[in-house]
Amino acid sequence: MNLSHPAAAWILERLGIDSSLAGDLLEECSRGRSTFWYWKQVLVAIWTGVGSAILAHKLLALRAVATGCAVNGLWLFLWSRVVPVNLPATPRISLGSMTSLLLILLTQAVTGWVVARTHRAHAVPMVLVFAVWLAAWYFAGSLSDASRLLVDSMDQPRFRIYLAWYFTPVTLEFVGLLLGGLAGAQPPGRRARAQE
Amino acid sequence: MARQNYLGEFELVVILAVIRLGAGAYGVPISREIEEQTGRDVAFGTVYSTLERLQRKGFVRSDLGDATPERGGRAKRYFRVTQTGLRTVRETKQNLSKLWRGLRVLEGGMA
Repeated sequence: MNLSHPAAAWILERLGIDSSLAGDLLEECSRGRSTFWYWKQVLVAIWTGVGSAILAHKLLALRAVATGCAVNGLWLFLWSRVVPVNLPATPRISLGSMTSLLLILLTQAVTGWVVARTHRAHAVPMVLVFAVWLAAWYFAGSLSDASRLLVDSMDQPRFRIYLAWYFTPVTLEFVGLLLGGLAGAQPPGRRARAQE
Repeated sequence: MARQNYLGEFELVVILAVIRLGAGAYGVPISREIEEQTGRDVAFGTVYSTLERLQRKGFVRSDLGDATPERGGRAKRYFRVTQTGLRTVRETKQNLSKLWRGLRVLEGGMA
């Protein structure tokens, strides 16, 4: 068995996907299926599993977005009153910018954890809904900047660092939410006992 | 209680594979059966999400079997068709047969 296989099985179970499916994939690998086949199956399983969980629980998805917005609203309040987050518009490696980025990562991890804990039956799919909504909101607010940077970066390499800087906060938000969501999702055994 | 009493195309394929396999119907043989009978390359994730949908509709039910070392200690989930599922498959067959009947363009191997 490839070393990455148990890791993939762990991810599947944390995403709330039936552990029997992970077992079936491992069984097929023990009969000689390739690692490429395995990872392709894992990605399809994540896509269909998460997608069907969201489609089957649309109201829960709305509640997850509302919960995430409420928690982030609290962070925005704290950032404006207590700990100001000053992320410069141009790329700058400084203590202030690094602290701000770390703060974004940590606060979003907490938001992801809260969304996961308040939506235990489908924790990670609901965190993903909120993460996608947040990313869409971020891009919608600065679509013209993003498209201009993207076009400029294609033929002028000096703009690529600006593009990377533009994507850094939203990437950290996404990563933070996912890490917090994975930490907040119940382990499969406990989830099964809770559903009994 | 079934929420919807109709079967989609892939749902019909999956439930027929479950019926054909009988007591040994779990993810691996179900996927193999579909591949062998239809020539389709199916993803396990798609088969499982379809089975989950069929279970929600009340057409199949599942039980956990034994865990084996080759499966990383994870149990097999065996699927079995319910009476509602069997009745729905029969109705689907009848409805499709009615639609099929009298279509000359599809008779005698002509496309």
